[in-house]
Amino acid sequence: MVGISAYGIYVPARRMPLAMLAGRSAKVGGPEKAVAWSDEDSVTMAVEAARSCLTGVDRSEIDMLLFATTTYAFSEKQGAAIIAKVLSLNATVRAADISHSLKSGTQALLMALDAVASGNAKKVLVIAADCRLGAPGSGLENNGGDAAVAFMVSADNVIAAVEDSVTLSNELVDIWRRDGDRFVHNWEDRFVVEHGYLENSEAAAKQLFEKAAVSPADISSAIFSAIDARSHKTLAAKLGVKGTLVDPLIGRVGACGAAHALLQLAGVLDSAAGNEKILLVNYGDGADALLIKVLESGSANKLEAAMAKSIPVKSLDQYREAQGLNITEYEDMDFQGISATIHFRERDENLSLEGHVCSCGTHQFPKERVCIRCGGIDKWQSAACYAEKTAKVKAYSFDYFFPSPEPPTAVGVVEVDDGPRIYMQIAEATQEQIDVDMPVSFVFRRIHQVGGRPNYFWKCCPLGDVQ
Amino acid sequence: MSLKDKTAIVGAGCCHFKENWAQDSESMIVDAVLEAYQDAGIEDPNKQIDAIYCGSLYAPMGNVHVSEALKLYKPLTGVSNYCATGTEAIRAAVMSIAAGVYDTVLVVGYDKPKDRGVSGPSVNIRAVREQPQTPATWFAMCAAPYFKKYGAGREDLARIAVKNHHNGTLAPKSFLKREITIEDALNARMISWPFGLYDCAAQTDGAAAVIITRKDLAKNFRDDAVNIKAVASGSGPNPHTDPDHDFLRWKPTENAAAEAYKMAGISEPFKEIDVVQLHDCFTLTELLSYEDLGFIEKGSAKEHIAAGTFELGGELPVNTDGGLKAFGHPTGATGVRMVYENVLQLQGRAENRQVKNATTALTHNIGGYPTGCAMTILSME
Repeated sequence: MVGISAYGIYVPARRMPLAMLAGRSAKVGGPEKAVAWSDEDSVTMAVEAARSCLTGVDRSEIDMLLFATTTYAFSEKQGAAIIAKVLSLNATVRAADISHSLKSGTQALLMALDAVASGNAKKVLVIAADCRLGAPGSGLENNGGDAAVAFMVSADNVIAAVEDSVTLSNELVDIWRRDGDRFVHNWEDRFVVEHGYLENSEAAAKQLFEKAAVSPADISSAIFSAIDARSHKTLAAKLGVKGTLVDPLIGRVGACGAAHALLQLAGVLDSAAGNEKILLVNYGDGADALLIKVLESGSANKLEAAMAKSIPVKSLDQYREAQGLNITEYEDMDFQGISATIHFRERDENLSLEGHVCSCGTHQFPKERVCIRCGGIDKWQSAACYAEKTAKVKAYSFDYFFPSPEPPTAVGVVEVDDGPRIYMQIAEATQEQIDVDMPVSFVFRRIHQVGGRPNYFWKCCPLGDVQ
Repeated sequence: MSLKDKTAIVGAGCCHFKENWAQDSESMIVDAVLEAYQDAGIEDPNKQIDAIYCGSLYAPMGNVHVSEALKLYKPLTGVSNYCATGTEAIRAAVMSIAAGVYDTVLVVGYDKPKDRGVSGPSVNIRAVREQPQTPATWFAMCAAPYFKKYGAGREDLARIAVKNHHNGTLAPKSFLKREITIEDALNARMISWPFGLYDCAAQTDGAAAVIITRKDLAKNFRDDAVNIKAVASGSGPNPHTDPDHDFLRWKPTENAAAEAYKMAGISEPFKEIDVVQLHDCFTLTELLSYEDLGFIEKGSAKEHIAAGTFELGGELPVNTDGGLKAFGHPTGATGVRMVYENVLQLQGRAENRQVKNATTALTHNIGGYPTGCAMTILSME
């Protein structure tokens, strides 16, 4: 049987209190949303969700990678190719971006299921990641959040199978982002909810009930992609489904676009009972309705754990700085950016965190030709990838000068366990936490936007903080 | 070939180090070189000087505007080694004379960072890795491991800043002429932990020059020429990638010091050297260098700082003109400025900061992550 055999979740640690967005002071426990920080975007979040999904999975067997998002930095140049490189997947992987719709996450999942069912693919990694940025002061700024989720689709070790599905395609100008727009825009709220979300979701779900011969009473969990709690409840009432009716993301993560419904699915799988039936309805330019049967009871805590790691954003100014919303009238001084030639040469180091091992046993990063310890020239025995290794901080500083929405920038020399020393930034650790010999692991981040392009490298963070 | 006793300094000059908004590089170079000419009694430089060696880190089109500024028709060589550039220019000049290529050479070190429109080092992002590329952060890497091992802390660093600020008030051409307290240093805004504002060198514009000639020709210029006993340099790869780096020392300094002491015939540097200009780009750099230069035991800087060993009236005065901290740090000029101050000290011309009976003086110039170190040892003997 074809289905989901593993899943992973990534929720960025920064939480913007909605009160602060409205210009009020934040209250503890008040509604908030997850914000991809200045060193994160859909690609880095996708990588982290995939790494969480791939724990214990042989990556060499992955033959297809689908990256679903509505927010990716390039109009031409594939995001899935970056992710495949970072994850060190085979060069023969069939990588594709599925985009331009809130429905792209479920579309990618359905395509993956088809590919495996046809026998043309064995293991497909599906990642949905999105950053929902509404214009300052808009309702969408309040509702939107950032997060990622990844699923492994295969024919073996299946924990949840998609028994049936219905897809509706529908043309409607309700939510959009034109080429070149930074912000998501929408038509009048009630029009969007009634003729977009409700009409399409209801139609797809009812057709699914009929097609699969199930009744609402058979459904133990219903997952919708509503942008607020009220719309979620309205749809549940129209469909007559009971069971789990609360979207745990609302008020904590926010509506996270292409990842929204699938992230809830991962949360349900955390604790679903065997044989439980899940209804998932994902809205966007029509709707996808999926009937999912749980084959293996869940005993994980991935969604709650991901949401539990929380660093409050301290001010509206920091939020705007991280989102690149503060006004500047000059281009960056370095608008030419990083040389594409250098980027090409440094792909192994920058994206795969790859160094190499000398015949004397010394690991070296980056991959230069002369060994720093034995002086041997071109005596390298093998490449070595350090991304999944742990390391220790050997030295550190806090740089108040380097541009950041919340200086100082923590930076250190870390020594990979049985590996090389690497100078890199330390993410999401407090000054009190950082010390010599602190154990760390690595996270994939956007280092800067020089040249108007995202430039990616790894950072380290305290061990145990990786989702 | 040893460079000992091959050459001598017969002229030295230095412009006022400061934020020279109204002066360009050429004008500062003329200030420094004119003083050096007068010091050496040179009246017809196109006849009396054979070649120019110069160093600048920020010069946009190399060092050709040294010839332009001075209207000299002479061979010109530019060298570069981060903040050790000035001393490297002196080393290249000394080697050219020792090799018999030239008799008398002009050395000019200069930089004009204040024309760039930024305060402090520019954040020019040219790479994806190695960020932040802030010198303060590179030099801060040794702080936590050193503090942990030897029990030193920010207050020991602050005492170095207080000392150099005091010395700076005594040097007419220094940038900062203001005493500070330990509390001022500890409470200043942070730059890169553990460095607050006062732990960091003052970046300024500036130019400095020396005139070096064959030792046997020195008496033609002046009777009290200063002999060059050693010029040495050590460079290495980025210590942050060195798997054996202990974050307690910098190998280039240790290597350059070993070479310099061997060349000059010095076995007990703390006793044999009378005055030192040391590369205090950050207070911790000065602290580590006391030890890396072999003046004191590794780990003992804290006690010596508390005892005032390196103050003006101490056993071995360091940075008598205020150093990079207070005199100013126009990158390419710094190494030459250090030699200028030591020439004044050895010739008894250092006025109210004069170290009594100084006959042997050391300069120490460091650069990179740090990756390079260049030194001189000068003597009246």
